[in-house]
Amino acid sequence: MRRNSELSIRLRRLLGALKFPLISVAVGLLVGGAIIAFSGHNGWEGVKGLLVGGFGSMHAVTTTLNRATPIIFAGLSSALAWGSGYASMGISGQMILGALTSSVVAVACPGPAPLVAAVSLIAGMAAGMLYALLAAWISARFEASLLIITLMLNYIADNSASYLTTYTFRDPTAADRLAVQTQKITGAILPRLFSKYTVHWGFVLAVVFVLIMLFITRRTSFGYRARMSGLNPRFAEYGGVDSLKTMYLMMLLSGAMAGLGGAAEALGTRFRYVDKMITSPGYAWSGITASLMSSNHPLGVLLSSIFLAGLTTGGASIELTMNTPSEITSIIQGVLTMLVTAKFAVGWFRRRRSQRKGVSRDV
Amino acid sequence: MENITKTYGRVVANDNVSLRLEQGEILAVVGENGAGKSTLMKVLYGLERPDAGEIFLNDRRVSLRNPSDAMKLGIGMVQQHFMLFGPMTVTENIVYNREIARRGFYDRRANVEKVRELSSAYGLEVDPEARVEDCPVGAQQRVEILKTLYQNAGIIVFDEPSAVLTPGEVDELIETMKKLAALGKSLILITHKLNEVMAVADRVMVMRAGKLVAERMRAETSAEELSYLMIGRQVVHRELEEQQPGGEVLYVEHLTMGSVEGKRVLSDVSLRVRAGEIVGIAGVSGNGQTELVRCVTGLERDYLGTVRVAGKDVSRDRVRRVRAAGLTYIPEDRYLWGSAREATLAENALMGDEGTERFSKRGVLKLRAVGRHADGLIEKYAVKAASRRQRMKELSGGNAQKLITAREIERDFPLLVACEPTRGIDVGAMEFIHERLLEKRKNGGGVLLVSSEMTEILKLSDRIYVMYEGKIRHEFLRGSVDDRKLGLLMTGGRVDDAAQL
Repeated sequence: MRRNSELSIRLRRLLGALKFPLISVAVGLLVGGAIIAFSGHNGWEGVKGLLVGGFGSMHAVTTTLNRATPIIFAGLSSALAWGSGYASMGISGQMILGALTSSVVAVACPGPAPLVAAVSLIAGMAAGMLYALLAAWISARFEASLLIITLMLNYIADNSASYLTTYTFRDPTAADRLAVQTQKITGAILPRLFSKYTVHWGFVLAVVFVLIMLFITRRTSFGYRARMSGLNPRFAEYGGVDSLKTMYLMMLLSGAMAGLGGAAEALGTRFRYVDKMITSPGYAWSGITASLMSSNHPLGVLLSSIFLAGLTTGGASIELTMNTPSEITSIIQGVLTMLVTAKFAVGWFRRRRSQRKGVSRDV
Repeated sequence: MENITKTYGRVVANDNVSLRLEQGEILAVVGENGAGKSTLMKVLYGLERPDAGEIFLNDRRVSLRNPSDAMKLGIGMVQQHFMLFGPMTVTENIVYNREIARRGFYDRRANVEKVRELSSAYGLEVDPEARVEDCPVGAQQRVEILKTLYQNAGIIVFDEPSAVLTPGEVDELIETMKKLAALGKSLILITHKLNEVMAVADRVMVMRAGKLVAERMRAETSAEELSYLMIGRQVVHRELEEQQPGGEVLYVEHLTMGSVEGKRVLSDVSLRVRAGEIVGIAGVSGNGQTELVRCVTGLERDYLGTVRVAGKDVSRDRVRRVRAAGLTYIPEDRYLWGSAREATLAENALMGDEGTERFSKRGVLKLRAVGRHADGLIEKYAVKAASRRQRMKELSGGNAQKLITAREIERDFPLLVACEPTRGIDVGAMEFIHERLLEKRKNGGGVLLVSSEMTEILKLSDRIYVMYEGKIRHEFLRGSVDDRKLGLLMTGGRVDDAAQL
């Protein structure tokens, strides 16, 4: 009896957690289908093509997983910060610095290739951490909004990286003289998992970190404190949680994931830093969407990231086969983001209201 | 207003309440927190829609869907928390939404002139060009009043207007209210401070638990009668087992705290709690109890004075250190402070203990111990729950409160600070929690009980402090004070008034 009800509660919670993301996905696909139909194609075929193109073959799946790798890292970064109540938007900037730093280190550092690759990854991670730390420090020191600071720091990171790639670290050997990129990394890369497909060891690393973050958030005292701060900061304060310490540690972890994500993309896919390689595919935004879809649960981040990446792969595929506009995927992701943020906002307002009403304070 | 009924979920905030206001009259509506005064006024101001009942203005039935309807009909409200734009000037705040414009542009000079006129006509002194955030609180309140006058309000509602004012400012406010009434405005004063009622009101309505329980002309009543009507006579029969208190577990000396508005929220508060003793703090809420508890528990660290918990000086220490010295704490609001609604029962039961050896090893939680602990608390305190994996929000208020109480009491620390431990919960749960508090006392724990429920204080306390306006006014031993006297002192009466009882 007891076991039975335990099981049913767990099942109910799982279903409850899945309900909203699934509805969002369905609505997103529906809108996507409608737009495909509107642009003069068969909407149903379009959606089918999207899914088959994203997940329907070994080639599709591996391409999707390759694309998912930086999104998973960005999603973890976002889930860590937002899950503890810290509104960080700085993932993009931290990824950029991670990617640039690791590219430069990988070229400049002598030694055996695997070791250099590891050092470069760590350097990229450290860059992301330091940049996140800077944001946290400014926010704590000047009592400024973390959201605004992280957002602004993104521009600084992006444009500084552009400058550095244009002048300081520009590839001297480039055949295309207009390409704004650093020198190609020759040895110290993240190798492919299968020689025929693009997915590389960075994906495995991402999955490992999903598990590590799952452990940290669900099984440690620190993760407990951080999660409670995210659910109700006053409750955490009441219980004696040092919110400043929690913020610094969480921002460091979040920055580490973002920096590593950028580094993995540089060492596993592009083999160099290319100007705008992080911002133009919108990895950070996809990561934030993934974490919102999964209510900041690391395993959910993994699944949502793969799904979002699959949409992009599928979108590219139907663009070729059906000649549909390539913006379809962006629109679907836009709808998804809108729905999940709406849920986030509603939940937030409800919580605020219930907290205010909590106990009838002054009826 | 006739037969107004308003419910929030299962709580009946207003039960068939009728109210009549004459021109030029000052009507006071008094009652404890939660008696339904504010709800009634929200209905009148269009902030809440009643479930039943009607509102008539000059014998004409009106429907108030939002505050702007109310304003159009000449009903103004001076809220307890001012609705002002801090960085804008006094004039801009007053004329907001109804500016005098010239060729479509805001005419600064004409607006300032208009405000100056109003200000002198009603004797409400303000500097029209000062920024609101630079004005003292009293002046900000005058801005609020002028705002209603600018909108031609005939009826002005004052919601706890003296809560934020210094005594001098309160006197000015009382003069202002009398003047407004003399000029033909009709005023409603919401308050629980009876001395103000006696100073300014023509007629008094007493509310209790959502109902209108009495109506009196000011001239025919007394503060004593009103406090009795407001709080009610409650019979207390609970013998406490005699026991000799032990050493001091809480020592508070000369605790003083200011607020942003420059008013003293706590002044020179000193108190003691000894082991094996329940010490009650009686007072209508909003008289400094919340702040006192915040200082004692370490949530507020900007104060003067000394706090010692179980002999250890923890003045201005962080929560973690205060707790480590031996303090446990049932907060006054179970969802705002006491729990995380979205977290599971087990997670809620762990708060404060997540770093102890019992529940973690090198930073990693011992999930099995955490689960067993939660199950133990749920069972011992008969919390009605299917599993520790349920979320806090799925529990009823009483059961949530039981779990919080269990978490704090079962930690078995020398001092428990219990704030409004039974507010808004059913009688069964209330009795249960009372028994646990008494058990804590029996086991040699010290309890500081802060409650606006006089019954609770009288029933459980060995000693009682009375707080009023940030000060401890009196101290009584169990049995040396009764509900009438306590009720009067809580509402600002003086000892010589009480002596006449």
